[in-house]
Amino acid sequence: MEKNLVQLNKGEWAIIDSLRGDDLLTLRLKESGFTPGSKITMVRKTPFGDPILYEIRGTQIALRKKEAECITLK
Amino acid sequence: MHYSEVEAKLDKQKELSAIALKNAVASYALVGPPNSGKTTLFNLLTGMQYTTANYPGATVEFCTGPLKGFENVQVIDTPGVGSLLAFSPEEKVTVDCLQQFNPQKVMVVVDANQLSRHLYIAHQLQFMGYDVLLVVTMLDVARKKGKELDLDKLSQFMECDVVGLDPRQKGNRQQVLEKLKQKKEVASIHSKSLEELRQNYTHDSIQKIYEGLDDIEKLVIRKQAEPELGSFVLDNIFLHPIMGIVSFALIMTFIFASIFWFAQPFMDGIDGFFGWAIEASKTVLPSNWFGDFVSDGLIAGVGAVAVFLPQIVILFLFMGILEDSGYLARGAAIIDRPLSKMGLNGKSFVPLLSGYACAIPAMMAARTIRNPLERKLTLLVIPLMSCSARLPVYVLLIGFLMPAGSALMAGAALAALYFGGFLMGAIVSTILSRLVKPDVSSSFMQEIPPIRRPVFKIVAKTTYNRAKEYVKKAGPTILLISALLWVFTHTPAIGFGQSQTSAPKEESSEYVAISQSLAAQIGQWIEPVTKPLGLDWRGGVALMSGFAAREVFVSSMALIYRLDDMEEEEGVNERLIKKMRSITFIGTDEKIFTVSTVLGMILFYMIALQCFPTVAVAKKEFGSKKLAFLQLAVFTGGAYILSIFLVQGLRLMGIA
Repeated sequence: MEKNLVQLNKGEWAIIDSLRGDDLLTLRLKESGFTPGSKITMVRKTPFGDPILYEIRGTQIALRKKEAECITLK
Repeated sequence: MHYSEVEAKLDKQKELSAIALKNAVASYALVGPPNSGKTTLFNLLTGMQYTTANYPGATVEFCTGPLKGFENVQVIDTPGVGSLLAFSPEEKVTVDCLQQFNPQKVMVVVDANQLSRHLYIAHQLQFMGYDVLLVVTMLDVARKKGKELDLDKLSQFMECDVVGLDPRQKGNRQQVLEKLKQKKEVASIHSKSLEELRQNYTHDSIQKIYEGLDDIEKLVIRKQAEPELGSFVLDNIFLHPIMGIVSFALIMTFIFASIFWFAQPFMDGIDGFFGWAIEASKTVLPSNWFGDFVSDGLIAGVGAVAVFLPQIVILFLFMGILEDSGYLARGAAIIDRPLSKMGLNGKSFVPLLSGYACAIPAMMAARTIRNPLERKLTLLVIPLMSCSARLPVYVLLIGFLMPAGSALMAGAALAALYFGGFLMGAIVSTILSRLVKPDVSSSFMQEIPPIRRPVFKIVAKTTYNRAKEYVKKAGPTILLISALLWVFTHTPAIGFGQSQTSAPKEESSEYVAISQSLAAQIGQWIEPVTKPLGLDWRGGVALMSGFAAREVFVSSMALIYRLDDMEEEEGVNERLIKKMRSITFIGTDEKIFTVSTVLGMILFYMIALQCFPTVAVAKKEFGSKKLAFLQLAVFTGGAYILSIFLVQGLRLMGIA
């Protein structure tokens, strides 16, 4: 059973395993530091429930659920 | 103004920068991700002397300023980007700018708290062959988190000069300058093209680069304590499921309502001053046509618009505070979901919001939207956001509808108009997004910077710069149109007075004079067009003058309805509202300005695209002349038809 980023609960962290999906989108995510092997923490949801705020590499980045689903976790 | 002239003016800003760079003995570029402190460094180096002012939201165009103390050395500020692969317009601007001006050194601004992410673009620049100087910012914040950076090691590993900025210590500027002076022994070769860059930065290589940068980060940072999860305390409110939405609504309402509330005393002051200036000029100047021209033409015309400057300043000020505090990024993330349902994107938030100041920078700010369709829809609806030029018009017309002294009601009415503009934009883009199929799937990625207390000095200075820019842009047009209108309303048309058979029997001499003027003749040509709106030719001329610049409407009203016979103690705006309440159609007792006609005018101004510089920018940003002209035709035509429906509909319902 593969776990992806959306399944992380508030305050939980995990290690990124891989990026799947649209080529340009995953390249963008990688360039922003979402690389396999890096630690990522779910910070909180935004008021409408989507996007979700994640902490990665010392900063917070909001991602839509759709993008978060592209990121699988170890 | 000619359309082509406007276009040329837009390029002038770039041209100015290009000339400054050509004449410079040296130029240094600033490159760095958003929120890295790039602007702070630019301000530090140039002493906030912009050659070109930047607008609310994001820097989306490069700008230049002379290095303070070195007139012939230029500093180039580029849009905040985290990569140079140029898949988005603002990345392309940065790459083009570097390739065109070939700076001696590229300062890469990196946040000490997110070293690996920010070193990535430095890696790309080094690959391209630029002489990189790393400027590490926010060392104080890192220290608070228990991180100490070894900058010598960083310099060693990255094989470039490094300088650290610590806002609490002096001599930052000197340190940067000293590093800038040091020349690299080997001349840098910038032979790498964009294609080579893209070929070299693939999925696999980016992974490897980040692994390397991770190692560097580990070696450079001495951790003194385990960092805590950086959830910002205020986000418990700003991003709370309920309080987050409430605070978002409150902040937006507060900004637009305070435009009315806070500005009132200043407006009364300015209004009173111009009222006094008109009277004073009359006593000083000879009482002939020239004195008349200066006091009732120029001073009254300028005064009618100057009165609204406090409101424009307040709007710019609040947007500056939101921008500097880090709330704009949160606003974008909060509103992403609702906007995505309308075919827009969270990234449309900043362009739409700055559209309330001016559509031109707003359209440029839309470059940050990656999805082409969402970008086009945002560009399309931006002119429906009521820009600051419409503020004077709204204030006058709301002032007419409301009893005097009801600032609270007027504030609420204004907020409703502002929201109404957004609502119309939402409807337009929702419908269109259902009709057009997107070719690229939508995405949203937004860095959320820490909430900071806005630095007053910076907010004040940017507000000042933006207000100055506004006055420089609108001022000459207002003066010119005021002068022209005075001439038109005071010059008799040849053979016109005599041929006028239907002249009213018992009208004031004032009316007789104006009814024989050039303006009357022009007005009578366009009367068939303005009649369905419930306006006489004078109102029609005032309405049309809004196509020169929207705020000119107010000064045109003041001129064309002749305020010169009013009591002395009142301000221009007060006089105008009084006059509007009493003016009637010629030879009848029927009032021209009624609830229905004024509401019709408000609706017209809400929708019509009357600003030609906006059309020029739209053409550029759409990348299509056709779309820009379609936008002009649909909005202006739609405004006209809907206003007629409103005026005539209200009349049918018995509302005069």
